[in-house]
Amino acid sequence: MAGILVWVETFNGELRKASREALGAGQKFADHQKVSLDAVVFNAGPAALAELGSMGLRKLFTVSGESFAKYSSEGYCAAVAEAGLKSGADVYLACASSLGRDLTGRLAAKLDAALATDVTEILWDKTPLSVRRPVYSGKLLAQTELLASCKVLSLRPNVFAPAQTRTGAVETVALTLADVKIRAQVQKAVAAAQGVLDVTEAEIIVSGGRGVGGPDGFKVIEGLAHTLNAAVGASRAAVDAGWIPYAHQVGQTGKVVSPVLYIACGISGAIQHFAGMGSSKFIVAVNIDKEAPIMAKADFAIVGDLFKVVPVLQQELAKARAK
Amino acid sequence: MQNPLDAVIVGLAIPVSLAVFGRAAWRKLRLMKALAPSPDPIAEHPQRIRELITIFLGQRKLFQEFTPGLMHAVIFWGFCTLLLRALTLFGMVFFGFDFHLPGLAPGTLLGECYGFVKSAANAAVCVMVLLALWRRYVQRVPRLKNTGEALFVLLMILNLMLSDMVFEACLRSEGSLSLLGHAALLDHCLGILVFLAYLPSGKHMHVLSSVFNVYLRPLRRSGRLLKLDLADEKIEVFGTPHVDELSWKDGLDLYTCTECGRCNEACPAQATGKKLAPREIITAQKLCLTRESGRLLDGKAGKPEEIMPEQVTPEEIWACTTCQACEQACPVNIAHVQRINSLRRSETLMASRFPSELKRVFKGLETNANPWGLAASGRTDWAKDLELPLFKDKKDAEYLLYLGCAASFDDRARKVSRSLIALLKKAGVSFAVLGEQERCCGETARRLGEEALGQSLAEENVKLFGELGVKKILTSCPHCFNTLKNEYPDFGGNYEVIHHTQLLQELVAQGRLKPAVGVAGKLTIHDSCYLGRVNGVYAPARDLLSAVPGAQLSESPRSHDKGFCCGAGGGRFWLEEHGSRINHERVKQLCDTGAGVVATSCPYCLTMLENGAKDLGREVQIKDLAELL
Repeated sequence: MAGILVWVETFNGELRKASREALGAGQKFADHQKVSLDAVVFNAGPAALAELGSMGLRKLFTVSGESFAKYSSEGYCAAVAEAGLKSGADVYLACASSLGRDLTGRLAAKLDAALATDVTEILWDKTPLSVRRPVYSGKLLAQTELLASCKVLSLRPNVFAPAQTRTGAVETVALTLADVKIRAQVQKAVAAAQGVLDVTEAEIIVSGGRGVGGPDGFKVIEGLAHTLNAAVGASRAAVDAGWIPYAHQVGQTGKVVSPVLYIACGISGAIQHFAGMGSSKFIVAVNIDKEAPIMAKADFAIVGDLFKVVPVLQQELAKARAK
Repeated sequence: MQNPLDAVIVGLAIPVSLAVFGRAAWRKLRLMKALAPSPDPIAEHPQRIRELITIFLGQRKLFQEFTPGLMHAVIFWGFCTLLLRALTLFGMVFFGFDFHLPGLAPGTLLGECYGFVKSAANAAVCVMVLLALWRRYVQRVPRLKNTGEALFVLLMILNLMLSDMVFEACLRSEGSLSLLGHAALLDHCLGILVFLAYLPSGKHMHVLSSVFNVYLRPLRRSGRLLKLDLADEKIEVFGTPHVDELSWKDGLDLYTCTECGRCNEACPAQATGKKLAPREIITAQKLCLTRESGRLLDGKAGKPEEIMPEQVTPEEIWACTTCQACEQACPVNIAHVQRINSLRRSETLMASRFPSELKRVFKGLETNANPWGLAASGRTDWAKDLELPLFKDKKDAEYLLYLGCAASFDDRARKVSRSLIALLKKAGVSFAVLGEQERCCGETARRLGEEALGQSLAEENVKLFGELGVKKILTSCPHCFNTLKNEYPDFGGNYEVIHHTQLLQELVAQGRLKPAVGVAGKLTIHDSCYLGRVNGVYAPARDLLSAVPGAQLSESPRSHDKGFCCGAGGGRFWLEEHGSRINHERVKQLCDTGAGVVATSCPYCLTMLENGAKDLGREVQIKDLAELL
């Protein structure tokens, strides 16, 4: 192995958390293989540059200019390949963000490299380079060997430890690229509606169904969700009845979620709902009907009126959290 | 005596009328020829002749609504009778008032009879035209569009009747004709010529084309979708993104539609205020075809107009439950459902434009062969205690029990499966299941226009069934039933397929099964569209219930071929529904029968009706027939 190059993604000039993780993986990897670690960054602000200066990098390639102000697959790929050429790297790391996923595919094709996407584990000492990555929606982990001399990896966010601060001076190289042909460019990034915690991103979801009985009933659900810093979900029946907006709907025709904890209140858990939340790590069900399908699928099933159970749950959890 | 002026005027008008008629009719014929060939063979003439007699001559489908049916039939039969009279009148213009057709001379028995029938027809048609006007302008029947054209046609018919009657009266009373008599004769003859010239260009073209449309209808069962040729690499267009891909029969359908709106009235999407209206899809395509006719006749040069998403909108085509109520209602056998499916195909396969909920369904079918995308190993999880024999181990089993995705994964449908299996065991039926080898039959994917996915599922199943030597298949889902029975032969799979209600009916009739559950009080039947309207299977449910102790059947007016969809067919089960719900409407209809129990035979219907009853807070039990025995 000759060297490692990390593509660093920025947002409004600042480093993204996932990129710090990619740099962290790069540090660890470089240590193991005893090779140099370089990075390439686009449109970095002063704070980002300062941070990148204290990570023990050998070289930092910076790219800016009008052609690179916005993301484009072609422009960014050409620049990263150029940086790779200057760095002499044969392993390229990127975070598996939306842009990272887009970039790495094109980069691998351009460099005729082996590509592993959405990597969750690098087997540091193995030769040839081996990684683990989830397949079939996370049902299995595949161990993949990358046999080509040049290798591109995208790393799943929230898996690798962020980069450590290290001493040592970094050589900053400003890359200038001769005319890059850019045929498609990102014009605008539109942020999703903010404010309410989105069910697809939440670690904990408290959901209400037909048993909630009406829009007022959702106050109980929202109360528990607030205590747990959780998102509020709903079954199709509750959404159809107009008690809560469609954005909260979990199930086959709504959102598919896989939180750590899913609390289903007054939801029978028929398959149309289960298809949307069946992969939750822990399922707690509160239902008056002990025959409801959800009760058999839940890790903890509480038989009782949700209007009695949920407030007590909220009270006790609030106490436990306060400790 | 006749007036030479009459002969001159009519003599001049005849070639003009024929020329206008001929030009328009020829253009329409050329247009049909410019469209794609029809994939349906025109064979089985005896059946076609039977349908011509019942549907065209007998007006059978019009009588599905009695009053308007009678009205139309009387006008139609009256017109047939009066065609002879018209020939006589034309003859009189040229050859004198004692002209008559051979055999129909006044004074002979036949002639007098005809004279009587003709006079009665004149009067009856008049009454019926007045009834039609009353329905349109006083009663204002919602399905009728009161266009100027509709009024013109009705007044035209009325004029023909009145002019004939006036002429006849003048002739009889005066011997020689007054000015009024001449005017009436001229009015009648010219009226016919104007009508003739108008016919091939207007919405009343059905007068000319319905006989062909009825005779040439695809005899393919309405539940059997056309198989797209996906192997031929030269085919680059799938579905019907433009009118170019419509077949000549599709085109004939469009011009035969007289916009009566019976399809709209039958449509469950319309009944619940959705944008979809089958007639409006026909009208939109008809207008599109007319706009495009110049280009089509010019050898299809230039850019064709896209039908989707503006002429027909996604909202319309995705609202269709493929329940076939529109086709059942259509008096001239227009095929709406395949037409809508072809639009879905071009949207899904060509434009990749479909409701986002379907992404997950397609992915689930592709990776795990069920629409939920659940692991195939879960198919028999629920039945471990039943120790179901696997077909691969028990190849001498009489039936392959093909459970289908709902009965394998849905908890409620699994309960039905348990009841069914208990009955089969009780009756000593030899059966086996596929277990983890079972895959979706492909129905949902095909109904949603994902033909490639649907076909690959069907092909894999046919291959597996072939390897296992499957001959008889028992299904618990009418959708699987229809697909395996009617569509698998297109993929080389020919099996004897029966639905569980049919088998149970047989077992009860043979005395191998005695209904034991019993129901107290009134009970009604919800006919599944794919078992009922599509495949004509209505009797087993009724027979079975008559054997259930205590069951009192109270039929809904929307039963048998007038059945109302639960809202889940055509892949709608997997789509969000906006506005008022079809299942709510259906539950209300069923509750109006006063029944405390609704018997169904489809897992989709079961879920939809149960959810509807819960939403509405109705205390009605929804049960599969297998649960009532």
